[in-house]
Amino acid sequence: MELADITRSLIDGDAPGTAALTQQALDAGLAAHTVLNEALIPGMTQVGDLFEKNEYFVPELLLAARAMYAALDLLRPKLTEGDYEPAGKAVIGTVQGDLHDIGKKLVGIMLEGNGFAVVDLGADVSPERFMEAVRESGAKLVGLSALLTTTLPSMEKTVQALKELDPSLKVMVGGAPVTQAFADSIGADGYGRDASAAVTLARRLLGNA
Amino acid sequence: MPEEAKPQPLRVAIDGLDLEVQVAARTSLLDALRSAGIAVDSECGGRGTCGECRVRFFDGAPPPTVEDAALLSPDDLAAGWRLACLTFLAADCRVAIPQRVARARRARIRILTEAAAPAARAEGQRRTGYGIAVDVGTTTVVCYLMDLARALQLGVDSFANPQSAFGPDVVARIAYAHRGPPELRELQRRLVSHLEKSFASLCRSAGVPPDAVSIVAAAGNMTMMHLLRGVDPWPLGVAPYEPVFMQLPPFPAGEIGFKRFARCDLQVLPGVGGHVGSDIVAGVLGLDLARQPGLSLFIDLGTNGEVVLASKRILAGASCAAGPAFEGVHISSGMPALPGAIERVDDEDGRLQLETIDSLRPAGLCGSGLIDAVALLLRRGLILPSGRFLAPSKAPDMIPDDLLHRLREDGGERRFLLVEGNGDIAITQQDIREVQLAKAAVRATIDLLLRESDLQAEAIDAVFVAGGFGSSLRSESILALGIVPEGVRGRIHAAGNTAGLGAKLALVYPGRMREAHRLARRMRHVELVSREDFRQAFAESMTFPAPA
Repeated sequence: MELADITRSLIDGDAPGTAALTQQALDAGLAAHTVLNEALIPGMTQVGDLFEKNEYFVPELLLAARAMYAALDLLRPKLTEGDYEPAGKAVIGTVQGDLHDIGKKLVGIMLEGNGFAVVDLGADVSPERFMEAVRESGAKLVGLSALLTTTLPSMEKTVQALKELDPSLKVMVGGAPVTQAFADSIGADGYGRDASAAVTLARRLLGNA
Repeated sequence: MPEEAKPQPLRVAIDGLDLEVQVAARTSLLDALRSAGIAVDSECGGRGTCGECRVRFFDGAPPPTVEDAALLSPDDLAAGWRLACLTFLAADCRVAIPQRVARARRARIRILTEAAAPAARAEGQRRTGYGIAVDVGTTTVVCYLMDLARALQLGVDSFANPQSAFGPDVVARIAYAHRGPPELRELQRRLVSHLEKSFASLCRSAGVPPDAVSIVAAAGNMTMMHLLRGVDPWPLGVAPYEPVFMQLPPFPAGEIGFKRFARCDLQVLPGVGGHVGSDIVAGVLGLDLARQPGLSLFIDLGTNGEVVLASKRILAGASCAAGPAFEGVHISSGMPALPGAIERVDDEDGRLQLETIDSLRPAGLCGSGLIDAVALLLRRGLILPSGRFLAPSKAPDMIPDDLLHRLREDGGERRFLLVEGNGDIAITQQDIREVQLAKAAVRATIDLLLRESDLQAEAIDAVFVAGGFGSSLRSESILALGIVPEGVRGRIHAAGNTAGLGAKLALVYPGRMREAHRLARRMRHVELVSREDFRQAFAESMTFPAPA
């Protein structure tokens, strides 16, 4: 049994296979953080590359995510503090007035798949709920999504509220009507054009690129 | 659980051929005849414009459609002549097919319905004077001048919606209108001034004095209804996406800025809720779907897709943000369905075949051409059900050379060349992704509406697809992409501009306007975008069906 088999199985979106191989690895005495860092995260990174190159699309990404979560469920109880440090913590959500969820969900998957701890607040999230989640989780990074031109003002309002709460907080934005110029104009720290770009951006904003 | 009475198959007796065909209710007669192996010419592809497919009913003639009346004389209609392509059967019938169908000359004067025709739906009282029916589309506006007493269509005029300068889709228009009262007024003023010009030109061509036009009936999506009335449509742009109003009392056209036609009584057809507007109500009214025992699925494949399930018992509608791919927008070589657009794509003996609107030199790809092209690529294995292009180097031998050499890879992006040289027309990987998003939104909406009503696709007796591409759309390709479920195969019809049809009926017959209001109240609006099961169905529907 090789870690590369777990990676391959994850890229192929085979959830039962990935879980079975992960269990085998644990039974063989491999540490949970080794499986995570050397099999799952490289797998999701490759999935992200394929997605960015337009070879993978939403369904393949969701299948890979299902495989990843199947493996993570087995690893989590064994990931003890000390030997495992998340790449960072992020709060994400779709802004108030916007019920579109899928793009933001993909960002969450890719962040988790790259070792981030993610608090996903869902869709139609008010600035107050974002602030509350930041306070509760202590996250230093927030990701905002908007799919409608009409909810861009809501994104701006949320960025302002978060920056008032804590000017050192990093806010990244994305979604179909969002552009780099818009992100700059509302004082966001970064713009990611897709889920994969969001990971690179998150790493850069938290200074662990 | 609501149960739809499954109608008995209908019998079509064909005079002179000693043949009887059994078909499902609401099948078009043209499809029925073709399924029986009877070749019937239809140069326009079932659009109801060429008149080649005329047949004569001896028994069971359905009420004439607008297209029947446009191409056939009142005497012919009374004698039972109809266009086979747009005759959707509702009863057993006996027909004769002329051996050599002479191409009908376009009648100068168009008739909406002819009361003397046999078995026509009993229409109530008509109005008198002249009226104008308007279909306000996000992209295109169509106006019809009608002689109300005679139910005659005197002329039709269309123009690009001048609001397009402020945004291609309704969300962009909502955002613009919300900037402030001047912007909102500007959108209204642009539309009204174009309408007024169009009305005046219709009157001029038909020799009708503008003062004689007393009534205007308008249908459009919810955003267009708001912008026409000058009401800020903002609540439609933010969750939970509900309109400010769903219906309006009639008002003098002068109230929204009409000048020459200021005294016209403007009647806006009612909407249902969310983004399901009066264009959809008009469609259901025009196709008469809500009074049928059988179950119909009505799909408007616009930027804002709408899906309605309709029968005597069930009436539910939902809208979805399909995106503009099916209108040729956000597609690398896309264009609207204008002359020169590739509207059909096929292969014959392994060679690519293209057809363009008006047979002009190909200028781009419109919605129906795009859907056809993706269907071809799937069928020939050039794209996988995941939507991914084959690597040209890994293509299996069975792919015909003419198709294979069109599959290119430059700069890491794969594309399929439809027309090479001087501004290539191609389908890129990104285009396929846009199609996947659009089709998944429509398909997920269909699946959830069916699930809501506890019905399977097989329970649907007829599918009507409306949209800018009209009947150039091929049911085979719609099925190949999985836009509609496989279970409706053989029962798909292109329906053309159904909003205009419904607006005309409501204009001419006060009883039909009342019916529109009853329909709008009866139709249940199903809100999907916030639902987890919709999101899941949406993601799952992005994959194409495996080719047969």
